[in-house]
Amino acid sequence: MKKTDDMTNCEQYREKIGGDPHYEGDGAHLAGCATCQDYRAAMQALDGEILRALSVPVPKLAVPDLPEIATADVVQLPRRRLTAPAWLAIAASITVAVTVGFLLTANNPPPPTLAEQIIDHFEHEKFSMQVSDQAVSDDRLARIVPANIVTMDQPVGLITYAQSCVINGKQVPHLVVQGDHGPVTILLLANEHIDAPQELQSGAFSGAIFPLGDGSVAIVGTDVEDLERVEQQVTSSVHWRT
Amino acid sequence: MKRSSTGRGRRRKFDEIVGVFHQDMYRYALWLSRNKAIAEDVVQEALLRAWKSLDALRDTAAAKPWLLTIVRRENARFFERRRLETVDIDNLAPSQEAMLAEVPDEQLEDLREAISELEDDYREPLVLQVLMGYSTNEIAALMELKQGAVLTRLHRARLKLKDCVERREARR
Repeated sequence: MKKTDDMTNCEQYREKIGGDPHYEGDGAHLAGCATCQDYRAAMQALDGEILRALSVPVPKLAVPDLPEIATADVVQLPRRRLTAPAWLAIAASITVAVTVGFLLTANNPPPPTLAEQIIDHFEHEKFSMQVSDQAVSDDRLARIVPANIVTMDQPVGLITYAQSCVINGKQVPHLVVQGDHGPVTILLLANEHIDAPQELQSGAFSGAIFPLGDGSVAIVGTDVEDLERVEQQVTSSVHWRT
Repeated sequence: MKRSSTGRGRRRKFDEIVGVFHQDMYRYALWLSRNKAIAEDVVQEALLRAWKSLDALRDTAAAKPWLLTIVRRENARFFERRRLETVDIDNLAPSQEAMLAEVPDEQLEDLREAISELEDDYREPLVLQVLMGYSTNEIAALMELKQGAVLTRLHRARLKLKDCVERREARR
């Protein structure tokens, strides 16, 4: 090991190698320090063993039943025959147009609406609708509700669930607060502008998407919950930062 | 007239990326949960979510981090669900004997056990770096940490494994 002044360098170097055994920097130190060379070699050898250990056998792939997804069908045109008379080309064009029109109207249902996506997501995470007195930590809340996108400057109730979820291709904070009659789901949709409230219904749960500035907020709770009060709390607390 | 469907194209794209990255998905899920049955459930859920949101994947070159992020979320959801259902998570993991059952190499078994015993905060970045080939920047982004914190965790994880391996070798 290199002595005195270089002791710190050895420690620093080993920290870097411990973080990444293939670290290529600090070549001058490495060239002059046999102990660090040994340490690097040992860490690289250990990494090889770790890789072998992590590479556990994998069972055969079993793909679950995949639901039908609405997609736009396209029609592959037949190769053009150079000898075909003009009327045949016109007839083919008409057939293509009719077929495309038929496929677009008959086989291509519209993409799910925002409300449908929210209900789908709500049902996927229905397990979060639990009565609880355990608040999520401030750290977690800060991660899930990023201050550069949305701030909440007043309490909206006891938040017992916080998850970052994807709705309509965008990352949104998904919270559950404890209402007067049970848990209430709140989705903060910073970039989903709507013109008017839209109703949401999922079994015994109901709610709405409310417009809020340039975005909107979805609130879903039990039928007996006073969702208007929750909405007022949320709309007076939430401020978009985007 | 021959008709091709984007529905079939979609399924083909799905099968291709899942065929390539299925092993990574399973191994990541396994090392996160430390339980074969949970890992299989998490992968099944992740495959469903990936199928539903496949259109969000614009660049198939980004398929691996995209799939692993889905696995990570589904794993978190699984344990969140279990927590809310008040099931004792400690009873679910680790089922090391199941993970190690197919491995005859004793040294490798010891190392797997040591990795399995690492705290989650140390094990996950190690798996991402060594097995998945993530850079420390990519790990930091995925785990919402600073790069320095990732390096520290990786260093400590390796020191723990090194120490563990050395102690077990000394006992022999």
